[in-house]
Amino acid sequence: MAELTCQQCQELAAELALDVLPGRDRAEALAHLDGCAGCRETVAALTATADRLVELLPGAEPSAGFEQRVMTALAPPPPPRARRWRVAVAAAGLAIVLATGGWMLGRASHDLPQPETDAQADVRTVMFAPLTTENRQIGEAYVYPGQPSWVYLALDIDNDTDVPSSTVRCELVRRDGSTVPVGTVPIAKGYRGWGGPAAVDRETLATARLINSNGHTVATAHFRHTRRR
Amino acid sequence: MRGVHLRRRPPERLPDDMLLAGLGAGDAQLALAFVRRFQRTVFGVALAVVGDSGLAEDIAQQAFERAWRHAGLYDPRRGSVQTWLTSIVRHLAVDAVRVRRPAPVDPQDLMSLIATITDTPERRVLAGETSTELRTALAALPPEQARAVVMAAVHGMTAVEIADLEGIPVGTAKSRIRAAMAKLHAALPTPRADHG
Repeated sequence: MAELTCQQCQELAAELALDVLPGRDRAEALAHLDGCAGCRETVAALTATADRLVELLPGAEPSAGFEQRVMTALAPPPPPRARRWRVAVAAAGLAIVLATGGWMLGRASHDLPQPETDAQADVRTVMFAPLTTENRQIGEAYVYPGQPSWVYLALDIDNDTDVPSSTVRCELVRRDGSTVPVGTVPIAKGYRGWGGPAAVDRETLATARLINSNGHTVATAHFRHTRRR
Repeated sequence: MRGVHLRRRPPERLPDDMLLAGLGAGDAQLALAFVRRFQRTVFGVALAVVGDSGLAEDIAQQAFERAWRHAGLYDPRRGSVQTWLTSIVRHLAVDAVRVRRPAPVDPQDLMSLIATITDTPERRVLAGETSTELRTALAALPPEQARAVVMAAVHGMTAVEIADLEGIPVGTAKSRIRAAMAKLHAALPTPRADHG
């Protein structure tokens, strides 16, 4: 396969961004992008434009039963117990699939092996727990233990409460007491969400906690573990 | 944190990424709020691409299921939840259309869609909608470039398919797509990537 020059790649960039570049041209363009940061940037910028173009499409009201249909589809029955032993095996396969996806999954989802199995869905389920301080809930902590794994905090601090703006450290605590730093979280009045990547293992995760500049734990979220069969 | 307490917000007031996290977590209340917030958008994209309301509903449902299964892959640095979701539904819809081809795009439908997309009523301008710039730029394109870029972006048509429909050489179709995208991109306030 002949390697494209930057100029040739630039000529294909719009079609690539619109995802209408067929077969060989697409393969050659992708091969060039693999080693050319400049062309990657161009395609990324045009992709953003293409995405915004699609967002211009007018909304439309689906039929009356649509919402219920979707909600039913989003709440499938739990997998039979006999199939749960496959979870550990499926996790490795899922990790490979997700690691190659990222945001691009949405764009290239038709190229991925489908459908996802029940066991895979179980592995990638987001864990969440109330985030509390002094027995009072100040928000919720969400942890996604897949690839990439991340932590998301939803904090809600009343406007009437005199709380100075500050920053706290967020870290995860494993069952053995070891910790995983996540990042620095700004604290302010009102509702805000904060998230960041973090190395998470579903089996060992115990707690997420926020620590102030004095080293004191000011809020914690304890994750419950559902025992696998 | 002393004196801090939770003020429960109704799901309708939560930000998009929070609802997506709830959807991924299996929170039925947040999932319902997510579906209600985005169903018009998702169904609208599907309907514009496939032109059949029954099929569009099936595709819209698939898009929500995919968002649910892959909520953890959403990366806010790459764009909004709505952008992520419309990208998912657009690809699902284009895949469905490609299976059914050759199904010609009705020129009248295409012109009607372009007119709808480029409509910039005063309320939108006054509201400072960021999409106004893109709508205006699309409206300013030569008609043949607007048709080419909409056929590609919305219907997922390749340059060869556009050339067949328009009765023009493939190279001309490619040029129209390229020129249109360059103009649309230049019209947006985001920094341009200069490389060549």
